Amino acid sequence: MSEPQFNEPVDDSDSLEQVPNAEFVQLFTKSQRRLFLFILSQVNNVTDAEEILQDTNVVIWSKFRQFQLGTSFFAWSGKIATYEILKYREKKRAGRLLLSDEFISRVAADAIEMSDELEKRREALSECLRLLKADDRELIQARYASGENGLKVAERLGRPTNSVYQSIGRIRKVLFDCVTRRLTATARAT
Amino acid sequence: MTPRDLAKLPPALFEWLEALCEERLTPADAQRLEQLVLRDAMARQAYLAYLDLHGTLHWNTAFGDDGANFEPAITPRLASESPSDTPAKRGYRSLLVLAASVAVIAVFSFSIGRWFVPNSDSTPVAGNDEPKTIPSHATNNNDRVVAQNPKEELPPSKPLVLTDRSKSENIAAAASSEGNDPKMLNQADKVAANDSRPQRPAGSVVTRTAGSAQGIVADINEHLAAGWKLQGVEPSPLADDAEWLRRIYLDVVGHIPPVEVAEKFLTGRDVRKREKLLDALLDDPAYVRNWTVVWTNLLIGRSDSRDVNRPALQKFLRESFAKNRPWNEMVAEFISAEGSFDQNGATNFLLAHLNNQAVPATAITAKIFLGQQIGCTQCHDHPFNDWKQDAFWSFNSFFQQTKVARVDRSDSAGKMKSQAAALETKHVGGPTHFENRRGVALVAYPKFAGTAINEDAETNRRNELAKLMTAGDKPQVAEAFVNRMWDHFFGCGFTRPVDDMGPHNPPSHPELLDHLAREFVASGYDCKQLIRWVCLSDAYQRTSRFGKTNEQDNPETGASPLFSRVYIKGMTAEQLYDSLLLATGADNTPLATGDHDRRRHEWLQQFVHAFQTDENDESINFESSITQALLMMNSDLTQHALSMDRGTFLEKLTTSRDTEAEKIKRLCLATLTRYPTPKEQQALRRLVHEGTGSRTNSGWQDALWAYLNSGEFVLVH
Repeated sequence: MSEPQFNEPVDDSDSLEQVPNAEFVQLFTKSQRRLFLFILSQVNNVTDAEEILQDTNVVIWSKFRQFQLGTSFFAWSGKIATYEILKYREKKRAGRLLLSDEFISRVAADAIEMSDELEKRREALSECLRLLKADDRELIQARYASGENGLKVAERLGRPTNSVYQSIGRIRKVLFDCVTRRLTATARAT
Repeated sequence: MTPRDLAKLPPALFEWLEALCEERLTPADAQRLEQLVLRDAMARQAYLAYLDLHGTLHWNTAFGDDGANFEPAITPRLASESPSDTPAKRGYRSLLVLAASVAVIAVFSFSIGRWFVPNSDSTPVAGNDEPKTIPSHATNNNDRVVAQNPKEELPPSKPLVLTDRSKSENIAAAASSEGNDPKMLNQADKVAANDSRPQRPAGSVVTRTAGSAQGIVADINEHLAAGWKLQGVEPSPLADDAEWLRRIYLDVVGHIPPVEVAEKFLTGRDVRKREKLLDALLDDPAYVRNWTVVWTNLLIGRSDSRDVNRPALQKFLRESFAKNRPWNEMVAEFISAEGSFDQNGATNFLLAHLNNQAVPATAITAKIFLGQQIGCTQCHDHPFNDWKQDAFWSFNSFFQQTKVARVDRSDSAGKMKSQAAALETKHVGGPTHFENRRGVALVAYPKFAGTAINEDAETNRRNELAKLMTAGDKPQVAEAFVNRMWDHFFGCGFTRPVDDMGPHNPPSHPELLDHLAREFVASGYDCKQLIRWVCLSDAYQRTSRFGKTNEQDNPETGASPLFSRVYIKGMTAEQLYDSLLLATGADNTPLATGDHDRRRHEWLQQFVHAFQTDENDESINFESSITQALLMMNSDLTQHALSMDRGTFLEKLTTSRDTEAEKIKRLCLATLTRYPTPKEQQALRRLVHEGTGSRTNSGWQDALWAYLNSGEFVLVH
């Protein structure tokens, strides 16, 4: 069995061109969730959003040389994502698109404007999750466990689907309101 | 985006967003959503934030550590350059000039925080208690701790439990502090011994008259002690007077004891002072007020609805509790009420729940008055308990003659002023129709607990139901009420949840529950008597702290409760609000005016979210966090609470001629109902001195703020 050799000496001068440097990798890693959420706001479907993210990532890696360190990575990769979203919508247009092009572009513009606030909301969310009643937290975790959705959770728990949807919706709204309040409280205290 | 902005948005928006998250938005609604979002910038923000929340939950579960860790590993900027860091900190300072508080809170966290931690080496729980009080750093610290211990991120919903492990130093501290001299503890011992003689019951011979308060208290003691013996558990020691006083106040009248009462009680030498205080509290107007709050929340919830007249219901409850009306009579009134919602306050219970074919009314009546959860049996047989689908509809059938009518109310000039909702009886007979899961249409006739009534149009079904529910020598109504009351005082009922009784969920002490229910019926459903039995029981005299000998007695872990101690409860929103006012003197007559009730109700609305579900659920997202409570409070009130304005606690404190040490003691007593430990005293002295340099007496404000922020304040222990 021959193991691949990773510790072979690498030609330094070349590697700059071949492989993204550490900073790029870091920026890339950090921006993944943000990018995912940016895409999700325009396609409304987590599976599709993940797929588009994968496609976007492929493009990001192939074009890494075009990115100039020091500029906004999110802005740069967001453009790539937007293009991938367009491609996805073209593909889907044959079928059915829930939301119009105008809607998508308005939302995308606002998403960038709001990105700081959204980032703060994400921070507040973890605290709000902690404050949930234990039952609620379990349910919402079950809902978001991999491959789950409200329907499957209801089946698994043997609860009427509607009541599970209602509970999940309630918990999400509670979290949403909690996050809003926290941000408002912080803002008011400033 | 503030809660106020969101309130202006059409509620349908959130229904659509919900449907979107679950991928079940219809094209028609998608179009409506789109129009609204395009038209309204705030709706657009809400859309983005909602989807962002949905996505974050998904992302963090999928890519966080083992799914339990919602705090992503990929955002290291949180810790270092978090933008919310500084503003929050600055805000607190500007609110109160808090330069030194963080330090003092840290000291308290050490002395108070550890007091409550179930296990001194489980940091995340400790973190949960403390850093909420310190806005910036600590929150992030906390997050980091959690991120490293994802498994431990989930604190119990009532997070804090006392333990012996960490108690040594604190108890030592408490014991050596001035107020709690050993003499006092001995006295407490004597009182308890006097109140509830048979401490080691099984073998002890007690002379008693059956049905007397003493006798029933002895029965409780006997039953519980038998359980301890069987499980090899040593009950917690007796609570000192301070702990007991605070608890009985919060439990019976809904707020912490006023500082004057505390001073008097703690120094009182009467061996029967606990019993006497309980009697005084049962006769206090605040008793009426507290139970009115408790039952208003249970009966109609905290959120408002058009068809409900909250003040009228409260008036009905006030009058009933003031007269100590028998509980079965009150239940019967709620079930059979007729008339307009302003003239007969009891109508409001059903008016709140008659929507949707009276399905909520059916389910909620069973839940509140019978302690049984039958909501799901409307669609199918209960998987666990005895309720079958047809039983649900038979029960529901009792409500089918009930009609909500609207009555015009005009002013003196004959002009229509408003409309009142009213409960009326339609004279219709026959069965209720329902469908089973296979879509087969079935009928159900009015039948309760096996007894059917005449289904003709002339029989008033609700009157019959009221009789059936409250008849007999131990109806379910009595058992459910006893269970609920027990839960109210001990922080845990004989069943968990307290309103899910039935063969699928056997009570922890079936014989005791049965016995108390029978005695309660025999007493004529006397609520005050029942409270007396519970509060004079040996177990209720014990501390909420636990030791090695009974640490397994922790229902939070799913264990069956043994009541070898009193479990800790979080304050309700109302208790917190009233206690804050009382401690700070923010409102000069805080507990007397109707205005106060209205203000508190308005304040509460921001925490409440109502749902039109089958059980008209609502959630109160109240996070027992003082910081937030204060910030969210009407700002005038907050300012006032912590100001030196005439009449406030701080003003009185700082202008009194007491020595500094006396003032510090008083401050601690007013907020936590106990004397400060020497360590606290030292920290406070420093704080007060530092504060006096910068601004007049701001040190005292810092000290009060720090105490109100302590985890200890928001707990009933």
